[in-house]
Amino acid sequence: MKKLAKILSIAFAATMAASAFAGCGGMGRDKVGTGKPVDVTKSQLKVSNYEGGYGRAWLDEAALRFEEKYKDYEFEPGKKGVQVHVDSAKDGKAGETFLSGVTSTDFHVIVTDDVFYYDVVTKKIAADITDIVMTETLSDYGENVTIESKMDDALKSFFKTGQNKYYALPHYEHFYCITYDRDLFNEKGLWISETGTYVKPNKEGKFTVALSKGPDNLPNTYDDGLPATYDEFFALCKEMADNKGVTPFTCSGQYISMVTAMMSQLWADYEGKEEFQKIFSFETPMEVIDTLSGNGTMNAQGKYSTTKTVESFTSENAWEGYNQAGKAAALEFAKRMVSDSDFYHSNMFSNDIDNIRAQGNYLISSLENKPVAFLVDGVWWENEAEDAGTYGLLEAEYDNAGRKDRNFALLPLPKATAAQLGEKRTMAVDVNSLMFINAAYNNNENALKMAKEFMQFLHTDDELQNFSVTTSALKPFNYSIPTEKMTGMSTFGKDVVSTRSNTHCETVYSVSNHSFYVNNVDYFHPAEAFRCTDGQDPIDLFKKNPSWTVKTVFEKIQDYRKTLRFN
Amino acid sequence: MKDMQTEQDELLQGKTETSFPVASSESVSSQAGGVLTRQKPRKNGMNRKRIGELVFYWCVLAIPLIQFVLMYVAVNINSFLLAFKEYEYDMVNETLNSDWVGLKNFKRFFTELAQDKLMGERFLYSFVSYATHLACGTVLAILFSYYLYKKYPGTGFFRVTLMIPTVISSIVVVILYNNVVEGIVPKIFGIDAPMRSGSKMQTLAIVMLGNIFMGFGSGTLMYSNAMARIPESLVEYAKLEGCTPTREFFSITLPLAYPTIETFLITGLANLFVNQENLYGYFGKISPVDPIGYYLFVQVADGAHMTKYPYASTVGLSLTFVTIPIVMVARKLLDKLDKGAEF
Repeated sequence: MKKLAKILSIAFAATMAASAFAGCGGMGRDKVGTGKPVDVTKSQLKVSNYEGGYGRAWLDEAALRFEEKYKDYEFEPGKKGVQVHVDSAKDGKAGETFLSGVTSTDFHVIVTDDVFYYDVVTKKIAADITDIVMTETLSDYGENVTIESKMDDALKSFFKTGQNKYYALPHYEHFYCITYDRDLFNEKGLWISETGTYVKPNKEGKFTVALSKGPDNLPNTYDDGLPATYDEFFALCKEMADNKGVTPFTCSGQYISMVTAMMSQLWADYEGKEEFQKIFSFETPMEVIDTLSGNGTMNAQGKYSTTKTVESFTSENAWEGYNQAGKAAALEFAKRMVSDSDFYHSNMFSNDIDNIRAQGNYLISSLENKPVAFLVDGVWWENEAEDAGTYGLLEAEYDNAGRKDRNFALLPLPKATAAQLGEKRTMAVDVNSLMFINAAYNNNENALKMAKEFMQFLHTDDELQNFSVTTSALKPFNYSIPTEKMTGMSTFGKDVVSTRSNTHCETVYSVSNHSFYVNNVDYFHPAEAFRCTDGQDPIDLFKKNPSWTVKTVFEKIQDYRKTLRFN
Repeated sequence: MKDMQTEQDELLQGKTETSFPVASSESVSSQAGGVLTRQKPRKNGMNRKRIGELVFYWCVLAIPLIQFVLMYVAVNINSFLLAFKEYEYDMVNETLNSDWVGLKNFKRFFTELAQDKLMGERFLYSFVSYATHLACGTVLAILFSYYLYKKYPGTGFFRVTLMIPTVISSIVVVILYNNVVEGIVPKIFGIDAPMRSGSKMQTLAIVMLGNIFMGFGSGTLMYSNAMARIPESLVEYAKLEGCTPTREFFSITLPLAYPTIETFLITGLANLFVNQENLYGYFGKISPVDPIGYYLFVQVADGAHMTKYPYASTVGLSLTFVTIPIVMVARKLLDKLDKGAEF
């Protein structure tokens, strides 16, 4: 009996001891089980992909093209060609927890989200890709430019370290927006004419009167007939609610913070690229609001009288960088959104309505004659609705309900007042998604070369265009998509990608290499931009407290940000 | 015939068994005329066996001990040191640097405590949460344990149903409770989802209700086990003397189960600033109410950067310095309440 007890004790102890080594798995421990039979005559390239929002089709198709292009190439002696294995999922492929385990996997290329570039660099998770980004041109693909030359200056300064090296590239542009239903506008006559009346096209789809010029204040452009200012926008909402039987807004109640994140777009559009960039770069001089007078609304010129100029930022006054007038303007917009309960869907603040249900409610609304005009969501919302099967369900039930049958578009945000008409349309974009090569291959020359080749391939104009066409999203690089490539895209997708070639549009990337940004990056998340002592989402605060003015909430946000300590 | 010397040599070499214990390496010689010395114990089977056992025990304990040293002692020492550091990204040298900043983090915490309304609210939520668990959870658990101990109707059923939330993973219970409260209840009563649509205190109340229910089983089990140790003869004697159940509860059951109750009260107090009420399971990183335990957890949860760790460590350490005297004083007071009743 004693002997048996001893044996069992040893067995349990050995089991415990074995479990202690569970975290020590090295190369080859994480086998990529993509189901693809391995061709041992070819080099194997393994890619990990986070597919939330944008799916995996773009990568699978790119992988096939890469395999075809390099089918006769020897990446390693004795092997001709390459096989690309894509391991793609929504869970376990993004975030800091995923990042910490990357170097113990055998993935060559990592495509991920919700990670901070400086963590990737300082933790030595990514291989040095300076040569393929800065030095080598894409001449193998017929382009005599480097990947770096396609990047915005803000992105270059963020991604290039002090040692003049690159370790990762930004993956996709991520922002929140207002989507509008063009078919609904046509059906209900919601377009604004030059004289301010609401009109609709004739049976041939043509307008018999001139449309208003829209926010860009230019005739015969993409935004003609759309509301140009906040006043015009909310007058349109009133017209929708009172006379057209249309509910203006809907959004996911569970993720009402999407409205908050969208407000950053209003802020950026108010300030313009150069000024908005300063809240991340802490460049001075910066014009900020000192205090708000009255109820905090802007004057007829869209200005706030009580502003001041910040000449320099220290850790004590860094919080003031968030006091730009654009923030107050966005608060005004939010307050007006809930100023009339007819302006928003009854479900909009219900916590059991997640993003998928909100998208479904929006898509079905006009099909069931309870139309909703605007959806506030991420720019990837159509992909989510498709992946969730929403479009499929609707197609089965209704005619012309498929993704390519509907005509949604990205609403160019109205300007605060008529004084801002004609200013460029500024879109603020987050860059939390990255693509990099696993540092575990630093000492494997052949594998590194193969992975670098794949990364270069994915950043050719052709592949950047293919990404956009497949996902209806943009990559943060300078490229345009030819019209002939867009034929298979939805209207919404075409509208999103066409902003890249629209000279009236500019994109500001919410990144900087200033230490106040780098060491306190969580303070700059779009959903955090309007956090105050009473909550995070101004639209929720205004709804629950109708008597609160813009000044009330602005000061609450100030009070909160004063407590933040910037390293 | 062997002489004594030869026999002693053989004993020392373990060649011959001896009927008497030999205590030392020195040999006893009566005839050789040598000095009387103690017999050296031979490294015979018994000592070897003892050594073997000790080696075995230490080998078994080694892994958990190493784990304890690394995962508890070292981690806590590192946490302690973190409170006096600051992390900064150095993109020139591509490193994350840590610098000693002395009491800077502590100054920041105490400044926030004085100025930041939000920080004050976090402590309020923690106190409200503790008080509610004490008043409702612990009291109800004791009363219900008495019910089970007296084997009143439904005892078997309650034992099983109360155990279920304890056995099932807490995140599963949280998801179930969330779906009932936020999905089924609003549909039945035609109201807004109560956890997310009302005030912060309403949210906290509903969350606490779920947690009290989840923790009910384990408390009830411990208290009823303590009560079950009370001698039956004592209870019968009390009954014969005309003792009512209520009187029995206050005069016999509670005093005899008091040591167990006191233990739970002390450990509950120690968790005052640690308890996060499963809020992460309900709301993720964005909860409308954030007791200090939840706030600290979110500071370092998935996605948090190293730059936030020092401050979180500072707050934790400061609260530890506050909690220790509170717990010690509470323990002294509770010891005074102990009537010293024994079985």
